[in-house]
Amino acid sequence: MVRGPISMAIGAAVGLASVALILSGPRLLEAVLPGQVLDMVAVWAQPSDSGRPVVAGDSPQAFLVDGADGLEAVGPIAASAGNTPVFIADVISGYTTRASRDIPAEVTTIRQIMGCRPTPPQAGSVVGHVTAGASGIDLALSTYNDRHLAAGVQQLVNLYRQTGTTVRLDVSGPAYEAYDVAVTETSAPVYLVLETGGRNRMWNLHLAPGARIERVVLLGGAQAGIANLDPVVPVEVILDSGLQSCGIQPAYGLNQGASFLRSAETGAIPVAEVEERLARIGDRAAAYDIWFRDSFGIEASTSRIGFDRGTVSVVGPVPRPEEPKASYAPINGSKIRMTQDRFFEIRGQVAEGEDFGARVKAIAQSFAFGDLENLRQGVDF
Amino acid sequence: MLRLLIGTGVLLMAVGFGAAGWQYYQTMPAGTGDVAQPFDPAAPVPSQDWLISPSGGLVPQAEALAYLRQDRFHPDRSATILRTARLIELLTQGEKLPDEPYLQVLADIRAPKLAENLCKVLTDNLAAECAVNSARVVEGSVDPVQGTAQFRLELVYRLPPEAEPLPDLGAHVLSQTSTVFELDPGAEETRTVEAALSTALAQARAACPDKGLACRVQTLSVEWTPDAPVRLAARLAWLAPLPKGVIPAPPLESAPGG
Repeated sequence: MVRGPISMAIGAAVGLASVALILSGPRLLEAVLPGQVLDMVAVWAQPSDSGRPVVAGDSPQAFLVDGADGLEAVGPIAASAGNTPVFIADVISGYTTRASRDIPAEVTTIRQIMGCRPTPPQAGSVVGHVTAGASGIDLALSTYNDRHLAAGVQQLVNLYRQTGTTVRLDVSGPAYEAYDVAVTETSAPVYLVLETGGRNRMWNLHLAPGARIERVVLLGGAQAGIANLDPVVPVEVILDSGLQSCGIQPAYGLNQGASFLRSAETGAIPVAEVEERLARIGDRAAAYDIWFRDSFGIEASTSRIGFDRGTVSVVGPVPRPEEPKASYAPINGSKIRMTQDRFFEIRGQVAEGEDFGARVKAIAQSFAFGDLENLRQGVDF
Repeated sequence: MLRLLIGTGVLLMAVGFGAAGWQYYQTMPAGTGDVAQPFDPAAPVPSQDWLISPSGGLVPQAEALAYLRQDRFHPDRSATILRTARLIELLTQGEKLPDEPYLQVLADIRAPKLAENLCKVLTDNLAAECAVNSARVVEGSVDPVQGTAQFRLELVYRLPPEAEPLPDLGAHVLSQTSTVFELDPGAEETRTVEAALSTALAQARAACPDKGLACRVQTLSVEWTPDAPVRLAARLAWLAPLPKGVIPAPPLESAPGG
């Protein structure tokens, strides 16, 4: 007698879960399952041998691809000194890339420095120069301005004209992308230069016991911030806009597998054009090296630690087995210092009607004389 | 127990397919047309939907239908107006222009306002009925300093029946020609975009050959910017008797483009 209703309840629960999965997509799993389980599922779900789990005999080098778009980490590796790969598990304990729902405990807004020269490192300190490529770790934090909102309104208009509804509208401001930096250098204070390009960047710091940070300089990015840094450590910022107004253009030579070099090898590009372009790239990299050396005492091209696609860089040596590793510090509950655009929001923490999507809809409605129906166009042939 | 299993299976199928169906429904394009197909039952509908070109081949079906079916709108029978306008023309009384980042999307949303009077020009001079098919700002054309932007407005129309019914379509070919002309700026006939459109219609009709039967304006385009030469273009189509040696035969397969 009891088994019947129990089976029905199980059936109904499975059915409802299926509906929820179909409607909400993979985000639902992230809300329900712990990060470690999701990490395991992500590894199992990898379709090819990129991202395969490490097996005995593997070297970190096996997970680094010299690809057309740069150096790509395709497994659990971090960039270390000389841009050589090391296993993440050998430098950070408890590492995870599941940070999309992390909410910081405290957010402090900082501003760019005036001028083009950050405070130089002190004598005797170690300069760690980290460059971040695409990590794919989008956070729940986003920041945006009127241009982003206008682009969102245009997206709404196009969707409405195509489908007659905004039900499928999925717009949000540009999120901060996290990049992890492990500091295992304990012999001297570390002066960190963290360099990124293009988008909003959130550096997440993981220190090995005994590591001390002298100062952090955030270079590049539309907006940038740092999490899990001791509040007494000074942070200086020059964003993309600041670098541009200073006439500084971060530049590096091409990797061996770059599509341009491959095309040049096959003769697809005239020799004169190849030489001219390589000379131009070389000139830019040399100019950046000069500014970098004058500012931090080292050359950018030889000091960079970071792949074009990857999630972690390590400043310092790989700890020996008996030495403690850096321990993973989540962004959840952390203290963050960051630059922000005009609007800033944390997904799920915004008052109703004040998030990006609501602002977009309100603007579209006001431009459409109060009724989105006015957006409709087209004759039904 | 068996009933329970079957019941649970059916329930799961219903829930699964129902959810999938709901998702499909959500992604289905809705009827986006704000103008219903007019379909005039009084307009004569020709007995055939294909035409022969002067070279003896079939006229692409879309072009043939745009010429023949005047009981309804057709996407290949349109008037396109590319015009420059001041952004303040898009505002209502007391309204101000938004900040610069929003000018492009405001112009795109309110572009239909600029097409409001153009259909009347068409119905006064040429068409039995007219509708705005699309009105968009040209991407990247907003000039925040001048406060202007370029707009592409597309009208579709259907023509009134001619006094004479169409001749035997099997014994005639469809001839087409394109004509382009430019008007000097500052003239009365180009002072406004409506005047330029009206002039374009008159010029297009005047370009119809005297011996052509049922000459119709298939497409029309006007490029209008204040104080700049106005460029007008039209594509005309008319019927002419079959050339000697050409024998009409109905198509055995779809016409190209049909």
